[in-house]
Amino acid sequence: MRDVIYNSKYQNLHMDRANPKSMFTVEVNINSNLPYNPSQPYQDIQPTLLYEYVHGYNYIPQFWGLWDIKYGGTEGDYTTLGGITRRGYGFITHNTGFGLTASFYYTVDAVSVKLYFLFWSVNSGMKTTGTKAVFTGYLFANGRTSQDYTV
Amino acid sequence: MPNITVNFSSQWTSIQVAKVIASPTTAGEPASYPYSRKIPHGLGYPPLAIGMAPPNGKASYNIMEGVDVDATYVYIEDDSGSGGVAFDCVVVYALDISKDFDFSQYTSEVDDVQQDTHGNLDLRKFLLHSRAVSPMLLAVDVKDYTLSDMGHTYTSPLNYPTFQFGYVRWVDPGSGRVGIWQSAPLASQAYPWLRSDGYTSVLGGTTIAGVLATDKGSIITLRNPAIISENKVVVTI
Repeated sequence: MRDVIYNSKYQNLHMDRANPKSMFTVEVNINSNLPYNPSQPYQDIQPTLLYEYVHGYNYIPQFWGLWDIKYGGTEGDYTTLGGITRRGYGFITHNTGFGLTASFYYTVDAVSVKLYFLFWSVNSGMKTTGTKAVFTGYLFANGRTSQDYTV
Repeated sequence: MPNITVNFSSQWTSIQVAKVIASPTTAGEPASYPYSRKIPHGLGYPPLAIGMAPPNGKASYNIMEGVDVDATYVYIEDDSGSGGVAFDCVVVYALDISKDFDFSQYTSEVDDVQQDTHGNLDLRKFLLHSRAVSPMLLAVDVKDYTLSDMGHTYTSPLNYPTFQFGYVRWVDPGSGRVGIWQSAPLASQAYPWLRSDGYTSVLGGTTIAGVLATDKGSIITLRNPAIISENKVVVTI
């Protein structure tokens, strides 16, 4: 079975061509230095809402959220986010373990997709400017309730 | 064939859902540390499996991560007690991560497709539907690691970015994961991780006390359906 191109036993991962939000890209440019917030724990900090879009389903669909991130600054400059690049799904964090967390993430409910940036630093001089993130959301029509096509 | 516009191509295997496991933190049976549950998947080979969850517990974010597997089970690590997210579903795909595939002889160009205007049929009810496109498998690159060669790189031949997932198989008895393929998330800050720019993906083995700890790696590359590429907004803060 695993060698076949298409097997009617299983369900294809469905991306609806008729839904214009099936593939949606948001380019985020941080051209300012966001205020630092030394509150702890950092999970209590309010993130910055970057963007929200309505996905058009009335249920929580299977969703892949892909980030391509270039943090601002240069490597070795500890007053910036270090210039590192990250590509990944879901929740992407740049956490130095030394009082810095700069995370991109999203939430998906039955109505919309929301993108957030959470910035926490104990250093009041930490600069966020020059950070760029490109998010692409892949909305699949498949549901998240139990399904079993193996039997 | 301008394959980017097709919703099904016999050149590639479609990514197909074999099983959706809802509430995986209580499904299946108890598992030994570092796992909390193991759930039979019924495929007979280690599959690609992805866990998802909306915000829960102390976490305010959605999660999307590869889930550890072997030929029999998917393995759940529930770290919700330490502030992490508990998966609310795991999707198991009919895709063998332990076996090489290569469709790299095929090249294509990004293009748009015309959206149809049919009624709002619920695609959850269909195995295959002409209105839907799907990511397709481009390659599974499996490598045996040795002490002298633990590097692992795969470069896509396509001229647009792809999806990537990575796994390594553990042999270290102290890991609690012997024989299990552990997900190597993109952008992870701890081993195992996968790094990619969308074209070239890098994975690798590791050692513990001079002994090979992971003996195999798998880089799974999927063709991005890229169906509505003009949908883009720019946000500046």
